[in-house]
Amino acid sequence: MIVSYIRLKNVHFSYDETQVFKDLNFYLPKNKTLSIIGPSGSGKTTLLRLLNNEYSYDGEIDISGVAVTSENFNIIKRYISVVYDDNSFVKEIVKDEIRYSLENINVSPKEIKHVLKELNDFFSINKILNKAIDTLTKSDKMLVKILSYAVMKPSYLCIDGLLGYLDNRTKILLLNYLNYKDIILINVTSDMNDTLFTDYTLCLYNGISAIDGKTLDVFKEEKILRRLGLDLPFMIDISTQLQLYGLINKTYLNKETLVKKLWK
Amino acid sequence: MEITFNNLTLIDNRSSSIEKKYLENINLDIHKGEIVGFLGDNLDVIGKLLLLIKRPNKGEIIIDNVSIKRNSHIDNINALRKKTGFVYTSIKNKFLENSVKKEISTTMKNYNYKVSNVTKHVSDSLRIVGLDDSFIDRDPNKLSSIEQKRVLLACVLSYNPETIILDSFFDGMVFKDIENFKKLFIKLKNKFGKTIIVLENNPSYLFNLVDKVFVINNGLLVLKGEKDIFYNDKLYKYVNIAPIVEFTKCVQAMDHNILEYTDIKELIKEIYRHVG
Repeated sequence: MIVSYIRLKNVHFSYDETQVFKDLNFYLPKNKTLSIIGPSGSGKTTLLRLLNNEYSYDGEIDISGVAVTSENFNIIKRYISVVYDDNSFVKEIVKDEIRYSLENINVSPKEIKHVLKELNDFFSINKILNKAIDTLTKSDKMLVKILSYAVMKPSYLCIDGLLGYLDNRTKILLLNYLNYKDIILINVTSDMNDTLFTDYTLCLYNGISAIDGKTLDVFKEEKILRRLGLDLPFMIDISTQLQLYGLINKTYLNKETLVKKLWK
Repeated sequence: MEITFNNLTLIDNRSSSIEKKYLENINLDIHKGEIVGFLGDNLDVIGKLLLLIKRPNKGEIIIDNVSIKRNSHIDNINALRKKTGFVYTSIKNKFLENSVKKEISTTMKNYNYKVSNVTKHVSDSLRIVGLDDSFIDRDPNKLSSIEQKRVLLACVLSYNPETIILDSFFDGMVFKDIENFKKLFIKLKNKFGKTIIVLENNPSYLFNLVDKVFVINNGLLVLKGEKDIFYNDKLYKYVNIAPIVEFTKCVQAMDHNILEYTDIKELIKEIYRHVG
C-alpha cells in the first residue's frame, strides 16, 4: 500500500468576492480516514474541490508529498477521487457506468470482468447490473455512483454527503469494500453518527479548522460544536448527558453495554 | 388545501426496460393545516402532480374539489398551480437570475403576486428562511447547497401558496438548521394554516414535525400512520432506523419497560425516572 497523508498549510481561498478559507491548516496522518463536518456554507464541499485540484489557491496542499497544483494534475488525479452530491451519470445502464470508469484508466476487458465479479461478491450487484440507472432506488443509484469512482482505486475517495442516502447495510458493505481495497475514505457529512466510521474528524468554521483530531477527541468539545449548530453522534450525546445526571462516568459507544451499566 | 389521491397510478415507460413506477393504486387524503411526511424514493413526482406537470395514468388527484385525471381539461390551471409551492431538490446552477433578489421578484412576477414594496418583501422572505440582507445581491448559483435550499424556500414563501411541498429538504443540513426549519414549518401550519408535505428518505427528519406519515415502496403505499409509526418495526423494512429508536428498542429488548420518544432530552428524562 502506498503511504498516504494530506497536509494543508496556510490555505487561503475565495470565490470571487466571497472568502471561504483564511489560513486553513490541517494534517491528516498516514492512512487515516477522515470526516469533514461544519455548519452549512463552511466550505466542506469547497475543500474537496481544492483537494481535487479544481481551483488554484494560496498556501500549500500536498498529498503524500506531491503538491496539489495544475502541474501535478496527472499524479493528483490518481491519488484522489471526489464523488459529488449530484444526479449526474455518464451512461444509462449500471454496467456501462462502471465499465466507463475502468476504460478511462485503461483497464483490460479481462480485468473489468474481474472487478465486476468482485463487486458482486461484496454488493450482490448482479441484480441491478443490467438495469437503467434512472429506474434504481436512491440508495442503489448512489451506490453505483460511489462505486464508479471507487473502482478506479484512488488513494483517497472523497464522498460529499452521499453516504446518508445508503441503507445501513449497504453503508457497512461499502466501508468494508474500501478497507479491503486499501482506499482511504474522506467523508463529508451532516450526520454526526457517520463520523464514528472514520479515524479523524475536521470541523470547518469561518475559514479555518474550528476543531480537528481523532474523532472521539473532537466530540469532547461539545460546547464548540453546539455553538456551531452541530450535534453529537447519538451514543456520545446520550453518554455525555447521562454523565451530567451522574448516572455513568464515561462514554459508551455500545448500546448493550450502556444499558447494562444503567440498569446494573 | 384539500388533496385526495383516488386509485392513483403513475408509471412511466410501462412494460419496457426503463419502466419507472412512481405510484400504483394510491388512495390517501391530505387535509388543510396538516404536516404530512412521505418516506420513499422518487417522491418528487407528488410535487409534479400537485403542480400539474405530471398527470396520473389511472385514477385521479383531487385538489380542492377539482378532479385531475389523465385527460381532464382544467379551466384555470394557473390558479390551481398558484396554490402549491414546490421546493425541489437544489441542483447546482438551476437559478435563472444572477441575484437572489431578482430570483425572488421574478418568482413573484411569474405567480402574479403583487406587493407594494418588493424590496421589503424580498428581505422579509429571506429573513424567514434564515438569510440576512447580505444575500440580496449574491448570485444564487454561487451559494452553498444549503443556502440554495433556503433561497428556493424563500422564493416559494414569497407568493404565499396554501401548500408547501419540500423534496429532500433536510438532506445535508446540520442539527440546528433542521431544528429551526421544523419550528418554522410548525409555525406556518399553526399560525397560517399552511399544509406542508415533506418528502424524505430518512425518518428522523420527520421526528417531532409531522401529523401523519405515508410510506411508499416500489410505488405502493405500504404503511401509513401517525407519530407512533416511528416505533413500528415494519417501517424499518423500508428505511434506516434512527439511533434513538434503535437504542430504545435495545433497552426494551433487555426487559426494561421505558416509554418511546423521538427526542433525546425526553429519552434521558425517561431513563432518569427509571434508574436515577
